[in-house]
Amino acid sequence: MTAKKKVLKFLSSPVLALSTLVLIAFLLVVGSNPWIKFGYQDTQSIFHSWFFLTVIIVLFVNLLLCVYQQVIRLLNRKEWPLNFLKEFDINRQLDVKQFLGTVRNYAAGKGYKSQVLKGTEIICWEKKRLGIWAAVIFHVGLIIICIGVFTELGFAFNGRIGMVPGQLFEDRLGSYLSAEAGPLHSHKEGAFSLYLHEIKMKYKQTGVFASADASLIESGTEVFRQNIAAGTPLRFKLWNVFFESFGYYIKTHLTIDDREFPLDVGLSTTFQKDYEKYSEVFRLDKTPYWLNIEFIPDRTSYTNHENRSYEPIQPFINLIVRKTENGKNEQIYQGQIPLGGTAGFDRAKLKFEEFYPWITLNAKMEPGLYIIYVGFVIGLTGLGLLYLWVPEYICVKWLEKEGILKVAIGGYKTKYKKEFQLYLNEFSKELAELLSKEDRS
Amino acid sequence: MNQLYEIGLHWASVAFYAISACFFVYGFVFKKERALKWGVAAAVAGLIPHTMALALRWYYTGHGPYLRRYEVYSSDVLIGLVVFTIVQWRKTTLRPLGVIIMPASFLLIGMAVLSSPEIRPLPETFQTFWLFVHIFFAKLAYGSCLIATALAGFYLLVNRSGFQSGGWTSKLPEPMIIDELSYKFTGFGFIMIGVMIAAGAIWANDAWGRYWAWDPVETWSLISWVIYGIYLHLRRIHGWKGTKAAWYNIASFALLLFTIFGIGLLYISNHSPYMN
Repeated sequence: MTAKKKVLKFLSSPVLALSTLVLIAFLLVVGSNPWIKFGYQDTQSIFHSWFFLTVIIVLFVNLLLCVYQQVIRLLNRKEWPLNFLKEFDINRQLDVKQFLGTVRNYAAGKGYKSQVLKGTEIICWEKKRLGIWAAVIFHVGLIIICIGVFTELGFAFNGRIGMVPGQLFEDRLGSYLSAEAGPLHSHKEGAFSLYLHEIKMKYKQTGVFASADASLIESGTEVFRQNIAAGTPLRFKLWNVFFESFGYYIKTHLTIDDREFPLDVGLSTTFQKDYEKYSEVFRLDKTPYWLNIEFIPDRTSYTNHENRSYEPIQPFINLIVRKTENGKNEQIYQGQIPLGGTAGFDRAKLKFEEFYPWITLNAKMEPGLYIIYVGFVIGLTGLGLLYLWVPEYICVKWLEKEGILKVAIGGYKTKYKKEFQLYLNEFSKELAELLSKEDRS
Repeated sequence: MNQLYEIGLHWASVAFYAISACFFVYGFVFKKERALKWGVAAAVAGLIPHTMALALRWYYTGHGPYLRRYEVYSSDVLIGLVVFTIVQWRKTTLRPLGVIIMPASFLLIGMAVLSSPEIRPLPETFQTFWLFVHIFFAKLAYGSCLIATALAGFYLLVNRSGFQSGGWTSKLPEPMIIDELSYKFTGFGFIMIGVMIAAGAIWANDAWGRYWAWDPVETWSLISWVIYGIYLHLRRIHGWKGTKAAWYNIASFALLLFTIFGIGLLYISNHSPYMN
């Protein structure tokens, strides 16, 4: 065997497929483990590593070669690998024509269309022939999924967009808060623009369900207007714009000694066990003050987080100020400031002037996603055929041995062979009885 | 007050399942076929208050039983038992599987009723058709894999040296048939897990803008799928059958149980708030 053939044989071997699957399962277990760290990286980084990608590529090549071999084998198969399992005598005079007619009627009664094999005295019928392609269809589905994943890795684009009502966003790499693109993605800027009319809010017990009332603009004209929310992304061409998160900006006015300046703070939204929290911790530039600000939309229900309303009925901010100076770190203020109110700490004053909502959206171009879905559908169809559409082939043969008429029954089934053997035994009894009845008549 | 009816019905089903489990164990140990029939009767009797309890809960909450341990475990048991009832009705020789399925179901529903029955509103992102598909197939996967594992357990039991058949055990299918049935149910479960993963990915993509995020529950579902895939590969290509395949099947189901019930407790996951 040449070296090339050896390599091909190795790459298409079922043992390689098995080893790769075991390795993938192992990597998935390790990668999902939050207690192991690789230096500063967590274990999830495995899934984005070259090693993991290489394992997937090996599986892909193995699948391709296996499918190729399976197809060649199926196309070259001239006949079913038939095994005649049961023979019984016929104790009466019967010619071939009568025999074939009786068996054909029997098969027709069971709903099978039978045919006599050319030049033989064998009558056969088959069930669910498509099932022999099931394994191939399943593996083709897996191959398409892999192609979809590779397309995603190479061509996908994902950009985060931050917007406030009345803002126009134009698709330029610099306009995104952050952007990730596959190495083969070429970003043609100006593919779309989005105008945010307003942020609509539904207030629930568990938080705010926000959505973005936005218009898609192409070449300066509005193409359509849609409410972008969790579960209802905006879709156009290969782009999908998903709702990502919602939060608040607060507008304050700060006075330190004689200096006055506006201070706008974008608060992060975090999900605590039972409620949604809008807060930020930051240091005031060139000062010793660390501010911890939490925005509370409704003071009336603040005491019990679980029952609080998120509707801004009596909004206020919780302010905690720490001062770090001369190696000391001490809390110098903790209090609540209602909208329009002012708090003083040390040499400073802070006025809570206004608040307004922000949203972030995710603009994604995922050319591989639809390929993955198609692969899933094909793969699952193959699996369905594999287990629910098992092909069966049954033949009945006219034999004459040493002047005695005999009938042989044989069949083929790709799976559940033991069950099938029992079925053939039952079937041969039934047929023998039928032929005996013919005899009596 | 209304919730009291639902909790009461749940407890009634617990009682019936406990009785059923006792009948099955008694019938199994003393080889009394009649006890197995009583076991099935008690299980079916338990399904009535159980279904009513979940229907009432669905009515009160306005969403299907898929939030938090109380609803998740209870509905898993219901689907698992419906699958078992159909299987033993179509193939009465498989009735003894109840000796594994009923105690397991009793324990699981016991864990459900002892957890908090507090009603939680369904987040907006959950109100989608794909979530229903995702959860329905997850429960079918659990049900079919449970039956496959029970069959594998039975194979080991019947096939062990020194096993003396008598009473109902003489009516059990041949070990090879039990083995093939276990394979069939595993194949079906494998398809169900695949559909569950695909439906979950579509839902996650619509809801959160990503179809796959290596969340622990997602990853472990994929691990279960790969592990069952290895089982099918070993059987089809490498000729694994009988004892080896049965032990592998039981180990795979232990892993699936960990994915469904353990991950939410041990890992921080998107699914945790809805499964704990």
